[in-house]
Amino acid sequence: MSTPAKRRLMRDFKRMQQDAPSGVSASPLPDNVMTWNAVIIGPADTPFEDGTFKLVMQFDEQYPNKPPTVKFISEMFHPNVYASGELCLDILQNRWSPTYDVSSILTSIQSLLNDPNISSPANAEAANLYKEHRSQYIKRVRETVENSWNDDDDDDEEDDEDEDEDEDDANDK
Amino acid sequence: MKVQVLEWNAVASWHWDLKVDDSGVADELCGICRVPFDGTCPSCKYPGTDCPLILGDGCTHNFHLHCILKWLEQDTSKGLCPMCRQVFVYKRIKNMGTSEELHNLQVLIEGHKAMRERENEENEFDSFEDDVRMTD
Amino acid sequence: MLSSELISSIIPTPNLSDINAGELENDISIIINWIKLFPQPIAEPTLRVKSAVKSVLKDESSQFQFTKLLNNSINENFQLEGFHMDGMNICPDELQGADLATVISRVINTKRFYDNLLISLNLNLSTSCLNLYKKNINKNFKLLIGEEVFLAKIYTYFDENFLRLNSFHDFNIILMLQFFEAIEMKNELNQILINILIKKIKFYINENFKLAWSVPILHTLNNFIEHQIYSNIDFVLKSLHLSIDMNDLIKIGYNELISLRINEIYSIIIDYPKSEISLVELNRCLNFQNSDNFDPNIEFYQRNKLVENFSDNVNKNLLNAGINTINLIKTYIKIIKSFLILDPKGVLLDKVIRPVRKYLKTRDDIINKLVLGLLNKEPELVELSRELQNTEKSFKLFKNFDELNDLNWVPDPIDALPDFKKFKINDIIQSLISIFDSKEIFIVEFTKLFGNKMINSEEDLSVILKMINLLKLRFGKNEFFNLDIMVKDFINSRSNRGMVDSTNLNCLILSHLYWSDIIETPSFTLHPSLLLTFQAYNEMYKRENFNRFLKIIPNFGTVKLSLEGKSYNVPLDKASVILMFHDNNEPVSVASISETLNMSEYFTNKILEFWVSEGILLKITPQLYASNE
Repeated sequence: MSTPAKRRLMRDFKRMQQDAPSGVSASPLPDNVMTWNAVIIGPADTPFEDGTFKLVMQFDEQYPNKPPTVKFISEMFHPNVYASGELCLDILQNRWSPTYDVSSILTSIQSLLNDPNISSPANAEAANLYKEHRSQYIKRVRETVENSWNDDDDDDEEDDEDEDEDEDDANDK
Repeated sequence: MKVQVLEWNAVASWHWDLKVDDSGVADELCGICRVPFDGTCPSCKYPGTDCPLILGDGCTHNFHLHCILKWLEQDTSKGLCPMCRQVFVYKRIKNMGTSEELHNLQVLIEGHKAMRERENEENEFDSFEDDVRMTD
Repeated sequence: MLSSELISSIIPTPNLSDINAGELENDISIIINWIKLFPQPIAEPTLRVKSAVKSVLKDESSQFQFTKLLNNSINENFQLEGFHMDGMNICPDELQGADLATVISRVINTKRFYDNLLISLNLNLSTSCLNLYKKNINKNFKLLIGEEVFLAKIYTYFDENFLRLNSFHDFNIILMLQFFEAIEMKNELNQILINILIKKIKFYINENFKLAWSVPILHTLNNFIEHQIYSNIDFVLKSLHLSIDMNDLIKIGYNELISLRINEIYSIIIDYPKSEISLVELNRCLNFQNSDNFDPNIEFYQRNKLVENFSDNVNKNLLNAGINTINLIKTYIKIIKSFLILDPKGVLLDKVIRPVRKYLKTRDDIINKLVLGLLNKEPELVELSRELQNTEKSFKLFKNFDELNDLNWVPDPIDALPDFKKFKINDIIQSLISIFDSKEIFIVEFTKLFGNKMINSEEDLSVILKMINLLKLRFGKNEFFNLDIMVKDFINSRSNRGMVDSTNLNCLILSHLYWSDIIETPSFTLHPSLLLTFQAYNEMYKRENFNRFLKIIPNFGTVKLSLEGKSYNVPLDKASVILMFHDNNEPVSVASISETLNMSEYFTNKILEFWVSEGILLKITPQLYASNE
């Protein structure tokens, strides 16, 4: 059955296929358009450069009048990302607008990477290092970048179904 | 020679007369559902009369009436235009939407207005309290 | 011939004490030597022989030894070139030339002699020794006459005299039956008879039923087997206490018919529906089970062979560029219908149809042809539209395919391919649609087709609506939302007519996003006078529909013109061109028309030529036209 939310998500998907912003990609699960897997590539000339950070986006039937739940699956070290992978980003909370779509959400998250909002930190350590010891902050970020590649290596060895299951498990927790 | 047109069976297409923004371009897509205005919102079957548009009055933004209704039903919308975050006001145009739909829209907009006013009062009260505390 | 009295007189009842133990072997050879003299006039046995017999019969083991030696000695006799008996000679090599009856009676006599020999000699051998002896004799006789030549001769004789087999008066036949009984070769005779029957049945089938696909034949075949085959061997069977089951004969006939039809299967199916009865009967043959000789391997083999043969023919004759798409679809339908008669479970169909499906998918015009067929726009494929008309009947009970499928669910037959699904193929339309992974291309094609019909007013709306409703049952209600919008545009435009009947303009107003496959970019601008009329209409529309306006689509629609007392119904481009000559008796240049109407000169010229051919315009120069007044 097609619902308004699903139709809108299919339009989002079409847009992602036709003109995806550079450095992000996303697609719904084959059997469930309400859950998407996404990847954000760390922007060039930032500590996040070349990182391949995976996310899961969970939509509900209220979309686009309610924002999706977005969560990093890859390990992140960022002032606005909680240890659980959840994000602290205004447009995904109180500044949400139904004019946003998958593409603009991912673009916003991408630009958040190198432009953290220090006033409301989700990861106090990352915020402190960012403010006080930038070189240490960068070192920690680079570690997560390298880990994000290892994630990929692991995935290559496993088959895709396992990968999906792993992520589903992660969602359940 | 006389050429007389007795009868003409024409084919034409209808289009919404959309407001043009400062740059002289009219948005073709509803910003909320991302379907062209001349098409239907996700809840409608037929475009046109059944799925009317609403034209912003304070701003230049247009939406499917049903799309903006759903947005304004959200408390989080605070009654703002999804595009420019100004308080959403619409142009009243005859035959655009059923009277029930327009009534609902009006109720929602007024509800948000009341909410905003109450919040403003609370904020003033809060700051008054703060003032009191500071003087302590 | 020996009589038992005579032998008894020669050989008195043996007495164990007569023979010395040590002389056993010697005694036996003495007896054999004596027996060898038979059937020469029997000499009085010597005392030595008499005592030897006594000694031999003394105990079981010596009886066995005696029997063995006797057998060896008889074997030697049989192995001699030619076998002399009673003054006559039986030699297998001579059978061919000799009178069969003579040879047979000789063999019967000889056999009887040997059978009776020990009994008539009154040698009281134990049962097991007698059996050993008899077995050896039979073996020798079988070797003697069991030559291929002899059996072939018998075969020919029975074959040629088949119609006389039931005659009690035919001496030769009775003799032959006795013979086979005597030499205990009833099984061999049985086999010969069966082989003859098979030959007769096969001949009959191939002679009478080749290419006979349009008439029922099984009844005729059954009659033939019962009354002309079975009744003829009835007597033979009874005489030999043999029995051949009628059903076995029928099965033999059916199997032969199956082989014939398997070879013809491709032509039969191409000939469908004329050949329908032969398919029904072939199905009965394939499912005929005779009492206890049922062999599932034969059935399996036949089904395989059928598929193999048909598929070979399909590859050779059907799946090539020389066959047009309509014929391919027609054959596809025939294959479905006929194979479902052959095998209602659809397993065989599933196997043969796969390559055809794969091939059909490669045809560029397949969707278009199927859609035309479904909508009864292609006389050759009228069957498809008939199927669609029946949809309502067959689908009324079911909300969707899944439900239909569940209610019909049965376990898959054993020779089904792993991904066999019955519901995919037992419905012709469904089967054709499912060649493609998605229904969408059909929907797009239907939408285009109906859209064109509506925009060109080619079909009555009620007809279109009826078709769409049938299609919705097949393809799903929600698939046709675009077409629903188009239909609504059409209906709304009609009701608009009353509103604006003050003008002579009727306007079909489209929701353009949903007609994008049909509307083309305009190739010209309307004549200013037409534009003016349209503008007036547009103003009226705007008054009724706030914030909406109309855009004319000049490529569609028609104008009814009155010209020189004649009326013309022409498209807008032709109307626009001729309107350039209204109230104008001066020649008009192609270039100026082309400029005013934004029309290519090539196209302008073509339309001008049309009006010239109608006698309305005159061509003054290639660049100049004027009204023909």
